[in-house]
Amino acid sequence: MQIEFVNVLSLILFSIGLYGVMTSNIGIKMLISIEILLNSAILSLIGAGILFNTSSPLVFALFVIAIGVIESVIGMSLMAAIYRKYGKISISLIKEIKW
Amino acid sequence: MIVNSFITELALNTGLSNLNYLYPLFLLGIVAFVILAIGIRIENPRLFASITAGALAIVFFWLYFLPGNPNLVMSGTTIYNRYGTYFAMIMILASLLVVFPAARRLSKKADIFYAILLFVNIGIIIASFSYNILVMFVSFEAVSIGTYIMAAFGKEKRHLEASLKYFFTSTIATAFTAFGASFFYISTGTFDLTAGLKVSSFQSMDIALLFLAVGFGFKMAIFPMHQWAIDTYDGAENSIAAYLSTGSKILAFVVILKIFLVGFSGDFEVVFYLFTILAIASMTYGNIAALSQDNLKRILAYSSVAQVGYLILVLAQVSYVGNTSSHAVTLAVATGMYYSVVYIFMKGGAFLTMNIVKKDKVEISDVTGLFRKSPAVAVSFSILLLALAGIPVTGGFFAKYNLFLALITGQLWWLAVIAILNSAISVFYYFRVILYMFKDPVGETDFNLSTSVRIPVIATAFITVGLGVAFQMVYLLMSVAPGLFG
Repeated sequence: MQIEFVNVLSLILFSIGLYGVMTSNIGIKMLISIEILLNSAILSLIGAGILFNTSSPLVFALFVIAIGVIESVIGMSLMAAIYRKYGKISISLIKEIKW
Repeated sequence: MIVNSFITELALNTGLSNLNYLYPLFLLGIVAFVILAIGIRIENPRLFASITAGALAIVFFWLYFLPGNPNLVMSGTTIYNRYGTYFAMIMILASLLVVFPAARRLSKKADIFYAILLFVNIGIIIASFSYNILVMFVSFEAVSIGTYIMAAFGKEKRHLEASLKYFFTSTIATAFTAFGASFFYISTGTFDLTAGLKVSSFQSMDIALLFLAVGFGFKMAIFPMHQWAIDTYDGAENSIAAYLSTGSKILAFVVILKIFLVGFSGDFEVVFYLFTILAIASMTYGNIAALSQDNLKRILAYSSVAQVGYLILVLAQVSYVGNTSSHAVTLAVATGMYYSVVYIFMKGGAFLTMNIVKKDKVEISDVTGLFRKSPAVAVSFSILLLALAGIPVTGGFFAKYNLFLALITGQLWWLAVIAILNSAISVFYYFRVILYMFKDPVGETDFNLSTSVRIPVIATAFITVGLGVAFQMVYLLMSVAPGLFG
């Protein structure tokens, strides 16, 4: 297998995730896009592990999975706090801090 | 049987004596869990603050007295030398600075806040000693995740918004970092920074450099990646803003120094161009944007963007000179170390001064007439602002003086000229705040001048002047600075 294919695929996934997190207004959608971003990094790390036939990129991938879980937990709890304060989960409502 | 073989393997991998280095971390973790346990029954922020401060102070001195070890320990990921110890110690000082001021506004769930602060310090200590991207990534994320929660503390909508903006930008930065680490592995075949000296001329190395620069640039709030920082420092609680702009920012600086000066030492040309452009843009933008602000916390936030620009001039200088054992490089790294400790006290003290205003949104006109009410606080705050501007006798002056001296020693005089012009611009907006303080008040002004608010301001002002008097420290640090390169 060629490493370039894995890298190109992961770069495409990364672009999709970045597009999603930048354009969306809904908190949950942004969290899902961040998961796509992290998963593209995991895919690229697994490709590196296959290329060198070593395990340390795979260990890194496991850590990225764990950190992704923690981040989505914190994101979800922030969404819950927003729902309690504003009654809706829409990022565009949140504009207390201005110039 | 299994346990026995595990211990043998641990001893082989680390050398049992090296477990010494883990005991301070164990202490912090145990104290954090103890705070969480007694927090079920007791709600007393002062008690938790005292326990936290005690634990941090013990670890501060423990780290100082631990003997250094020039060899790689912990399966070859970590170097325990005086360089790492210095940065771990000054970041513990940054935590100690906010422990007691934060207690004032935490009525509920103070135990969780202090437990998180201790966990964050574990991450900080590991990250400042580590020379492996994997370990750095994990420990840096431990710090980031802790600070997302800390930024959300408070009842107002503003606090929630601050945490939300920090959370989203920082998670994107995490993804960038993981991606960059993957490309670093593809081009060097290792996550080890010290082993990465044999860098190939792969193009994937440049991709790795770009992704890692974006990832850690977000965390350090360098110019194009800074907007979250402005909103978060403005929205978060004052003492938490002080912590975010000192502790976690200096940690990002430490990690950036290690990754780009040790890991990418074969790619210094790209590092030089990238960080020169970022430094110039960051300084200029931060200073010019602060000129037109009326919100005092946003002025301080923009000035911290400008200060980051000065800090990363160290990277530009070292990558320009290239020879890591030369005098110019040692001077530059030592200046970065001295600048970091001065920065922690002047910026942390300036943010803690915001506690005197009894509002969450602090306008520049809110400090009018402070000198009449409390001359000591007004003079101390002026000293902190003068230090940020780089006026003589304060530590800020000697930090900038040595930085420009290092740049000129490394033949980068044009960069020094740009930096000096920038610090001339910055004097305007700092003096504007000082003028407001010394004006007569128009109506009735109401300041919160309790002892717990005044003491941190006056103490940080004293320390800032003291660091200026002790400017010889830079020459002491020059014997420690080569530790950066392993």
